[in-house]
Amino acid sequence: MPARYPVPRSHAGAMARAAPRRGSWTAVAVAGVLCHLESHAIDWNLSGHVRQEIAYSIAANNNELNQMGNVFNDRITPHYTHRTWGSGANAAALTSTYLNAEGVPGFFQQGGLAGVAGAARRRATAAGLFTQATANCRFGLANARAAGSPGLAGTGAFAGVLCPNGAGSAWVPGATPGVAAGISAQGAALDDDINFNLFNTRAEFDVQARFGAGFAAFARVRFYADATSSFTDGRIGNLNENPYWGTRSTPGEWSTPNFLLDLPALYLDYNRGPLWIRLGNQIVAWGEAYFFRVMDVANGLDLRRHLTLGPGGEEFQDQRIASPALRVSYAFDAGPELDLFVSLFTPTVLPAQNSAYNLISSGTTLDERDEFDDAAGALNFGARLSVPLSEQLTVTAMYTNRRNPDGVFRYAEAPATNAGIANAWCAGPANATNALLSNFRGGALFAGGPLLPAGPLQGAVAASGLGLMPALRGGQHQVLGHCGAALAPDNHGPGSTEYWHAMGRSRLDPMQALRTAIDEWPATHWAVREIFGFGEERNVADALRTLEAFHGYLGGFRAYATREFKREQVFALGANYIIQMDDPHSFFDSMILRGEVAVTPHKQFTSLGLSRDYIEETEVISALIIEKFHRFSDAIPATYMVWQWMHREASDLFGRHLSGTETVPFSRFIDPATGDFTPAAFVDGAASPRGSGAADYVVFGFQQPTRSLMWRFDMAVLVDVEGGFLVQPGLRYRPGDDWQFDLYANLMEDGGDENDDVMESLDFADEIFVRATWFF
Amino acid sequence: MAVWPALSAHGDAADAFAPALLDIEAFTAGRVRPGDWIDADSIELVQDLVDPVVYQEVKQDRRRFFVQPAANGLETLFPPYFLDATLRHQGRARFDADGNVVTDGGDSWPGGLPFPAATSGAEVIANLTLSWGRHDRALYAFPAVVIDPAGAQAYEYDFVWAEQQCAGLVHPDAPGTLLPGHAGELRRQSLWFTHTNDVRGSAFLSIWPYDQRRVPELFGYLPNLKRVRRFPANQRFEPYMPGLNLYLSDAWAAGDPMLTWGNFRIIHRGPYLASCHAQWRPARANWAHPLVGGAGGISYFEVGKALVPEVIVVEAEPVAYPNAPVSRRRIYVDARNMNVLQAITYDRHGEAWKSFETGSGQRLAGNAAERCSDGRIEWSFNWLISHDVQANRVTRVLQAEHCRGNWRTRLDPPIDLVSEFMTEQALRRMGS
Repeated sequence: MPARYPVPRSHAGAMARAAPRRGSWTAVAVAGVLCHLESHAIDWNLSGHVRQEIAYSIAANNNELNQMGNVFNDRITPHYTHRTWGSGANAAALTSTYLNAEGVPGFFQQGGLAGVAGAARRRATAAGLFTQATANCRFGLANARAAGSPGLAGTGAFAGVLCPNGAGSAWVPGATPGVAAGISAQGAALDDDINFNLFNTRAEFDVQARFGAGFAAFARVRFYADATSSFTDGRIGNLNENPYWGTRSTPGEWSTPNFLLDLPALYLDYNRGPLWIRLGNQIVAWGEAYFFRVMDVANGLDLRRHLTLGPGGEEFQDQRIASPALRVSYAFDAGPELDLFVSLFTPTVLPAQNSAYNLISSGTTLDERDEFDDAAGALNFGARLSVPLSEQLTVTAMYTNRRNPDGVFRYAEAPATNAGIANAWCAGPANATNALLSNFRGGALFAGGPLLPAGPLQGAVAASGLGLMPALRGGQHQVLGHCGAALAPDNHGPGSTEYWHAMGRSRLDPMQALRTAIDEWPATHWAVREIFGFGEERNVADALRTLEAFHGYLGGFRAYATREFKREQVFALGANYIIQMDDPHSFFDSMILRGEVAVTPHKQFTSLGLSRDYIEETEVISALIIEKFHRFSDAIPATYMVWQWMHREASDLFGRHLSGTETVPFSRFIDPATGDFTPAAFVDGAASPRGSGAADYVVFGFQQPTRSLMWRFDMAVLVDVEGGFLVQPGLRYRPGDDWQFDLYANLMEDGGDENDDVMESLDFADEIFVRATWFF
Repeated sequence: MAVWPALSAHGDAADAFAPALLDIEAFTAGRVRPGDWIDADSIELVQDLVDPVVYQEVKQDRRRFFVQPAANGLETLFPPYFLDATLRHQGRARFDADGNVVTDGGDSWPGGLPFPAATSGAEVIANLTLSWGRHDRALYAFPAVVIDPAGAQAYEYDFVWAEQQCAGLVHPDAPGTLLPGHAGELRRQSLWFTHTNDVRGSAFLSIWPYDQRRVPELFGYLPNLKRVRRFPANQRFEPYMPGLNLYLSDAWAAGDPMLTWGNFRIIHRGPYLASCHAQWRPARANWAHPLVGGAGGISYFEVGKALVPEVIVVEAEPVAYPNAPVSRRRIYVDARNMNVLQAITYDRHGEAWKSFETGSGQRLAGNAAERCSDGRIEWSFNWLISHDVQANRVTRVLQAEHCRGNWRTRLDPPIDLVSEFMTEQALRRMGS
């Protein structure tokens, strides 16, 4: 039987009616299937590549977010509220005082407030009241313990600090009164350079199969071996693990600290005419803009390998995380297309801490297990309708309902033991404050302070109307699960001044973050507020008082944080339009305009205080893109050029809320001549970031191939209009079908130290990188 | 008697030409006979019958070809249904005020050659442009190889080329001369790469308006970006892929809408040696021809060429493409079937830059034949060689039985090509 004439499926019915003798839609479909079956040995096609990638750092500074690049490692940081600092005025300055709901002050301050009445009770705590160490430094707690510290007031609790220059807590043997700032060789030993940001070998194997009858399959297997740790004395830790699927970061991977095997693609395709179904591990990429993610919200990014600093022309080719998904697409009349997906939620994978492109401060430990468990198994889904309205104009509407893979950060519960040290912040037997109350030998806590009876003092605490140490409840997702605090003593942890620096880099509010760490965590709240009596930290004097007291008791400490993956809805519209001019000489002829805008109602952003009370704001992100191929000369092929502008109303390019920009430098609060507080140190909110109303980014890029396309020169420039830019020149050489060589550089310049442009967060990443690829 | 009247009236072109133009032996006074090899030592014997590029390839680059007997039968020169339409509609074509080809009733051209007896350059170009492959639908599996100046293989690409005529349908089962749902379109054409690994999944779709003043819409799927992008289609003089000496503008030597070129003029008519018969090699693996020439002996297909009694050489200029690297293109067209045999593109300095040589013929080889649905023998082009003579890089493309990815060449396959391969969705599906 002769085959019937195939027409586009959507017209087959009409055609059958018009010409019934020519067969039916069914006949056409059957013929189509039969024709597919005709060839029908399954064809397996194996190809792939092996690539060596090397990126050499040319940055003047290391990544300060890494322990090994932290500029505070060797600093012995003076305590500005210690009575021996400056004129002593800081120590005497009055700061906020805690009063509970019934007006009861903190236990250790009740004696001192006995004679203070009225509103004055709210600001009656001398900043230096509890600051008993002249300085703080790396390993301060370990040194104090090694020196045989008896602990605060001889109770064994709060061992204090001792720095190599003799600075330290008053009760530590060997601590020298009056000695403060200095340099610690002990801390400097933590320093190291990461010269090779990348040094890896990868092999990718693609297996493609066409089965006939509309079925096809594709799999990609990626082996990735990272050798950067070989260049840093082993201080780079596990580059690959995260507590998502067991210890896997993506559903289809297996890893060791330096080796990764994963499946970026593993799917089955079925298509029949205008219908296409794809099932399996896959990527869904939508949107008009390059690099700027407006409508491109279906997948998270894997930032472990090269952050997003690969060749700009490759966009997120190596970053988008494939996830198990079902995708269904139907093209109407070979024009409008409806595209649907349902996929398993997979979070954006951050670079490992203490690795070249680490984005999380070394003073923070990210522990996401519980929060990922909460999101595990969740489904993201979305739909996109593209409609070509004319030959020149196509519009797109999109809706996606997803767990935001980037997540929002907040403090998390610290472990009961951190880095081998029992966590004295935790509620429980190791709690230092409770131990102090239990073992107090009677008398003044410090020389000159009010007298207290001998311990145990818990009864006195309760009798005064204050609570006892909170009891742990166990379980997950609890503020009192196993600790009740978000902090933990750590010999590598940051000291007080460093706190301001780290908060600024992280676009957080140091005041809010300190209050959150205390007030949202019962064990900390109880110790800091109810027992020691520190009032809320609203200004720098308040905050330094609290920080320096506790750094003097427990040395450095680290914070624990996590990400929650909140569900959100993203609505977007996009369009592309090609300009057609009558005059082909016009530069505007065949210029392509693209635009898109996405709205996420009630989007959750990380609180500037890392609170559970996230910032909620409707986010609007828009992008305008202009593309143009233009022949400047008949001697060389057309130059591809693209201009992009992105406007964001609520967050920066990395998704950080804009209220966290423009941090106020710490130096503004300390008089450089006297070391005393400036008046600004007593102004509530003066240290909070000033924020920005919007963020705008501009990209210009071009690619210029040679006549045979054997060579191609690339250039991409990203400008943050707040200041700062990234320039990425590149050269690609493709001498044959089995080799390709790439030479690129990432050159960044930030716009200052106000934490208001994104380049300030990447200023460690200046580098030159080369790739050699062998295809098979 | 002119060639087309003779062909259409008698089914053979012989009546239109002097005997010397029908027989290579007679033409060369016995110095060349069918079966002879033409190489560097003998090319001078047929110098007047080849174009300058082929002459140079044989003379200086170790190419050789053999001489085939001529064939002038009408049905050996066309795909059957395209021939039917040409005969059915002959004499009805004219240019409208815009320069587009329409019927005497003002409708779009209903299929077949509009000007089988072309007398102007514009008519010749119209014959080439309105239907490239001379089938309503086609899938071509193309293994392509690029040979570097040293004669070594530099690149290898496999790609699939799909064509669907939207106007001028000629198949007897077609619902009419227009593809339902595609009014205003002349054709859809897509290509997708299946090898090498770095380009596999790259796919492009051109949607050609019937109006030849307008540049086609162009969409592309690039695996790096994981999505389909619209591209400006006026940049038609860049290689598809690195090293590949094929541009959008090259297709059938008429890869651009005909009214974006101009100054068409016939500059020569005369005999020519061309690969226009018996170019299909079904007995050989993947229909591949032997290779010959270049320093490595692999630069060219080793093929036969037969005497074409009349070739029309047309020159045209890319008037709508400012800064195009091309000053003009000289196209060699077989006067019998208006098929492109060779095209030589000249750079802006007037120097020959690249050639685009084709081989074509009936799908008949010994007892093997490929037939269309009514049993007549099919016809198609079989190969092309694009030679950048300035860089001395040769791209040879075989219309093969199959290419990587399990794609097979099909003429008028009973497949809804538009839905399967010619939508943005299809590009995305075929990508990876």
